[in-house]
Amino acid sequence: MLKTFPITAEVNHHHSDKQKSGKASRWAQICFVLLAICLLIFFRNTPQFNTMGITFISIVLEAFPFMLIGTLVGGFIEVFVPQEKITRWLPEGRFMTVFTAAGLGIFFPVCECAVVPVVRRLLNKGVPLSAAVAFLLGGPIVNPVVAASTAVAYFFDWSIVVNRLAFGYFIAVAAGLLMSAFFTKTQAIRPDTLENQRFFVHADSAESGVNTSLRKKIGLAVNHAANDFFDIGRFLVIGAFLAASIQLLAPRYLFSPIASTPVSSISIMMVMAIVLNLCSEADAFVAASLQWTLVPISAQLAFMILGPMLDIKLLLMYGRIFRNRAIIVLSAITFLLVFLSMIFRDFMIK
Amino acid sequence: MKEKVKNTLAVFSVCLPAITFIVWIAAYCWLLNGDRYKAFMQPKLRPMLILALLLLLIFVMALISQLSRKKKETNITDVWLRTAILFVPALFLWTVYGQSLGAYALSKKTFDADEIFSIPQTQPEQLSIMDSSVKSASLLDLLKNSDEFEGTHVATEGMVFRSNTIAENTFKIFRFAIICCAADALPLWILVNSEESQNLENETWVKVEGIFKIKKINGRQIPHIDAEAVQPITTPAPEKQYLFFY
Repeated sequence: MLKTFPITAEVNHHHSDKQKSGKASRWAQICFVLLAICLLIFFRNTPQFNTMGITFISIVLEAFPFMLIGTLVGGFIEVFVPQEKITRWLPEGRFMTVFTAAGLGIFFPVCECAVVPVVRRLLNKGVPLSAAVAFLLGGPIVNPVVAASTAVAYFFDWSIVVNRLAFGYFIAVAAGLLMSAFFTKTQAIRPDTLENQRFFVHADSAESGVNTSLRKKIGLAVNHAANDFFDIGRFLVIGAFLAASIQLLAPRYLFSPIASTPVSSISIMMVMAIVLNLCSEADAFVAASLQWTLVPISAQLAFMILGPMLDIKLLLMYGRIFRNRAIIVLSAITFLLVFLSMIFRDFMIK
Repeated sequence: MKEKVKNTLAVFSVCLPAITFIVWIAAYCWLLNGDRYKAFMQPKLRPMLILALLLLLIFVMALISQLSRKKKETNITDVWLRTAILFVPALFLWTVYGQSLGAYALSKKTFDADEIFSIPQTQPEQLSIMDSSVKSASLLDLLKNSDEFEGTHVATEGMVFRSNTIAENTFKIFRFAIICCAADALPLWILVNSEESQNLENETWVKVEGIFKIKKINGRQIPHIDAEAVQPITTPAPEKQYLFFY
């Protein structure tokens, strides 16, 4: 049986908020489609359009498989893992939960595109906000695939690998703890996502119960995954489009740090990480290509640590999990933590 | 009548996710056929593309099996909008395939503006040639193993880049090397000194034969080829234009 929830004043408030942001978001999406069609009609066959188009499609093609895997894992978590089990698996105590979650990527290597739908489902299964944020930020860095790609890019300079993973881990832990200090779960997570999910859980619970056959359960999980992909996929597309456009408008050499000072080089490399939207398995190679320049190692690390945590496509995808205020705070916290820790590293090394 | 149209749209909207995924299945099949995907990404990612194709097939089957049980879509605009957005990259793919990153992208994807501009004229040097046989190598191989190739007779292929700031009898031969996908493409180039290159336009594909040498210009090590022959060649197929790390 489908259970309904009591409509409280808070829910009404959320509902009007949702309608307002929903309308704005819808108009933004309509503008995106119209802009893309105009570009296709009026600018095709220009070098600018080709460069932007190739970059845009490449990001989408590269990210789609990982996102499909992420939504599938999320779907299976939704149907096969009961809430009580997840609560039981989590270590007791807020700190332990966050420290564990930030390092989960070692066992579940996920990239930044795959982790979003998984975290979305985990939040609905009772995972605390702090742990969810720690996994969201730490998972795409603290994992063996990223460690290997960083090692290869830097010719097996293990100090770079250790620095990247260690700073990534501690920044994820700190961001998780800070987010839970600033927000409660209901304050940070989109109300409509939670409400929809609750309805889903209840509606599905009849089907996903003990008596339901395994085949039906799998069907249900895949159906959840397909709907998730259909929902979140559009934000990946818009993010990739924006990233490709910015790459076109702001050439790489503009970011090339005149940078003799750590502050400017670290800041510039962090902005570049947000703009370029590279996969966490590829960014080490781009960073390593700067080794011969004046860009200090701390700035290269800032690029490799911030990129998988925060970039344009991720910001849009976070919009399917968090409220706008939470996204702003999360972005600010992440940016500041990466910046300060890299300045600190640079200072200590000198 | 209006109600009827609305009803039909609502019923059709239920099928839109499956239709969108079918379009993407077609796109992945097309990309995998004849290795067209190499015009956008690294060959080592082929298994991921196959996996994506399989997952999309499974998603479509799951969606179709649930169609009869699914209620009419209430939020028709939203569903159509999602479909339209997910169609955009497919449309771009169809439009852009056949093109590749060229001189314009070179100017955007270079990290150091000095790399593109202000390249002074250099005189061909008298070299002691260690190996007289011509070694064919890609730009990536030449740059990766520059010590090994220095002073040898090499042949390589790439596109021409000239600008007002590069001396008249000099041009850059360049190609892009991909790590994962074209978004992370890094431009690779070597300066070519040649008297025969005056009439070559930007982005013309050429084969250059000559002596490979690393020269110091403005305090920086710049790879050079003192060319003996520069021959225009047919533009390779889009999937063969990039070089790949690994």
